[in-house]
Amino acid sequence: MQLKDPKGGAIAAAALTLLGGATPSQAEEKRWLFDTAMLFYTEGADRVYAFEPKLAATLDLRNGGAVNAGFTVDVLTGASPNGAAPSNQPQTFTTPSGNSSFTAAPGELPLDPSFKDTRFAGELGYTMPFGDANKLNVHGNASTEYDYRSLGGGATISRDFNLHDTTVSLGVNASRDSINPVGGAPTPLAEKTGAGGGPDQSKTVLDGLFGVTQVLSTTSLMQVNYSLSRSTGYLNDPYKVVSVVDADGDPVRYLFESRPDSRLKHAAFVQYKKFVIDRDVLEVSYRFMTDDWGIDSHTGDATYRFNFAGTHYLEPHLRWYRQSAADFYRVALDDGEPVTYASGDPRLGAFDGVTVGLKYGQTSWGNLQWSTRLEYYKQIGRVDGLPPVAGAALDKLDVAPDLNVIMLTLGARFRY
Amino acid sequence: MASPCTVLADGADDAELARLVEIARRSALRIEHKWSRYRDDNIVHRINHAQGEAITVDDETARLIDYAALLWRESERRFDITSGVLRRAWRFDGSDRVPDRETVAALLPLVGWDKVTWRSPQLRLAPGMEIDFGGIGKEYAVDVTLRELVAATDKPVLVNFGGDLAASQPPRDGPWRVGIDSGAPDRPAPLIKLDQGAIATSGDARRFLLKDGVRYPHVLDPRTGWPVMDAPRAVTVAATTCIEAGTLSTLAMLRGAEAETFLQSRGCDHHVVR
Amino acid sequence: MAKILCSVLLLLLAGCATVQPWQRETLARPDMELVSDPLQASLDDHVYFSKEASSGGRSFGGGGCGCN
Repeated sequence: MQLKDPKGGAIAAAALTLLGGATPSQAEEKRWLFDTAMLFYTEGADRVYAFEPKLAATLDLRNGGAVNAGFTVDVLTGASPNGAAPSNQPQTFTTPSGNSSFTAAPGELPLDPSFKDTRFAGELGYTMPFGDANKLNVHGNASTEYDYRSLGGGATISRDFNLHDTTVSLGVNASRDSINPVGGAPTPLAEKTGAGGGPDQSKTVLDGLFGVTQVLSTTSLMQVNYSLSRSTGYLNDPYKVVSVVDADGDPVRYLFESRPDSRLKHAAFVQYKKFVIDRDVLEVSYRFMTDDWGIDSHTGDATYRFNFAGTHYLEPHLRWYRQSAADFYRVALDDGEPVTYASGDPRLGAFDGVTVGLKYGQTSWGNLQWSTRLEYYKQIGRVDGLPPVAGAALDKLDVAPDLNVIMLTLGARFRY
Repeated sequence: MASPCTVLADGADDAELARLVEIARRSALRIEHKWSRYRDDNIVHRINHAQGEAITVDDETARLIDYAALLWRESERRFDITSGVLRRAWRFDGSDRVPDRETVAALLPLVGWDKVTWRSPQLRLAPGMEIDFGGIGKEYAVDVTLRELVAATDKPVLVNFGGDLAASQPPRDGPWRVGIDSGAPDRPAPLIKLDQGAIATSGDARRFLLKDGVRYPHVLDPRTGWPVMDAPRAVTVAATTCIEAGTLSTLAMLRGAEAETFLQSRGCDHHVVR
Repeated sequence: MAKILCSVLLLLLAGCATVQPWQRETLARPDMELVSDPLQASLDDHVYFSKEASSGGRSFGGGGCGCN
């Protein structure tokens, strides 16, 4: 059959004549998305300050897929706990490099101020659709700082059901980290007399994630995830020590900390999002984590976005966190106590965390969206891991100190 | 229009949205009143009851008739705005009342644009003939309404008259996402990402006759008076204007089994449901 | 743990009617995405990974830095 006008030009032209006059302005297709954010982080006087700018770019491809790239710089400075317990006496420590020293006053938590670190990280990802309901994403990431390098990658497949109302996804991720501590990696549980002096170390992490996202109604949806993470290799913090104390709680010596060389974490996560009063968005989520180091944690999170006039919003945020201590977490060890694993790292201790924050965002014309968020995060320590003999003496000191953090984030995003 | 009409404006507050909806409503009603064949007070009524006299039409109607004439030629006479009289034989109500050959044959002398005298702005139909703008009126209304909205606001707008839609520019956070009803819960529902331009659908989802297991689609071939038996269930086309998209989807339906080939040769984005 | 997961999944399946594609206008809003600000979420994940013993849940476990 002969087709008139194979390119359809006559119809297109005739349609324009019918409509009479110039066509509406042709908008260029905007397939690029640029997203940037900057975090200013402070734990207060004498503790950690960090500045972390991030940049991400995503390109929508014509086949329905996407390519994305991201870059992060993380600048850290300030003092953080070195794992030793406070004492009635002043304590002096050498820094990991062995080149200088710092002291902690009586009753004060020892903080090592020698950390100044700049970390660079990059990531690349590619998402491709297969048919109407399937997607495959592959990604890789790498980061480097003066004593730590990481290289990893993974893939996630997802499939939609029920007219895209249900999505099931399965992902795996693997990474290998190289740890080259300043002064060398120490022998675990060896006495700290100077720098560590050992060889470079490595660590491997394997992650799996299974998730189901379900649309519940025209205004709400939820997601349930189950994830598994197995780390093997060098899991110690090479710069942290554990105090060995006498019956009065006074330090006798310090041992480099020792953690098991494997860790298996399970986490279950639920998130619910609902559009309310025809204008605002409520989001709540809960995560439960448990691992084979004896740590259990609960995380509850809620945000409520007040939308104004369709162009700006105010979003209060509340996060609650509770963590139990690792089996081998010790404030300090009794002199002569047999020990296989021990760590005084407050991050493995028992504590609660509360975050309150407020975010404000606006969409300006020309497609630029910007936002700013101010948050206050407080960790409230709970006493755990006291040694049997010296426990009573140590309990008189502040062995589970609080942490107060203020974070300011600025973000901007635009399409091109 | 006989279908739900929606206006979407990105970033507009309630007051502006009300204003835009009012503009759209007036535009849709104006065109509906002007060219609806159900009214007795418009140009279409006068043309259809002229008893062989020539009627002078206004400029907008003249342009629409010019367009219809071009489509008649482009479609090798398959698209014909005089084919409405076949409605007297064919009532597509889902029943099995298929007309007999004689009834349809008796109407054929009243069908055919070649029997019309059109010298713009004068139109003369033979007595008993009728014209019906139903095949292109709605899409034209979408385009005209969009232009009026674009003149009234700088926000991105999308006008949707019962599935025939057009957008001026994309919203701030990405393209308009338009889903196509595949007609069955177990069939995938494709998504079109529209920055600007139009989408129109021709379909027969609810209008057909079913007799002896044979489905008679409501798409009639004016050359024979009978349905295009292998017409697709629905054709969706994306184009710069809704008129163009609607034209291509209608022409594709009229091609029956060759709908896909036709659309591929035009190089437009399309989706055919069978 | 398994019991919690199963009961949540059952709640999921019980509590929903199919939402048709043309009813997804609200769900398509950017502030209704599961993660409406991915960079912010990533910054938060990094902070909490550095200061707490848990990670992941919403996405992969994070890491790739010497901070924990």
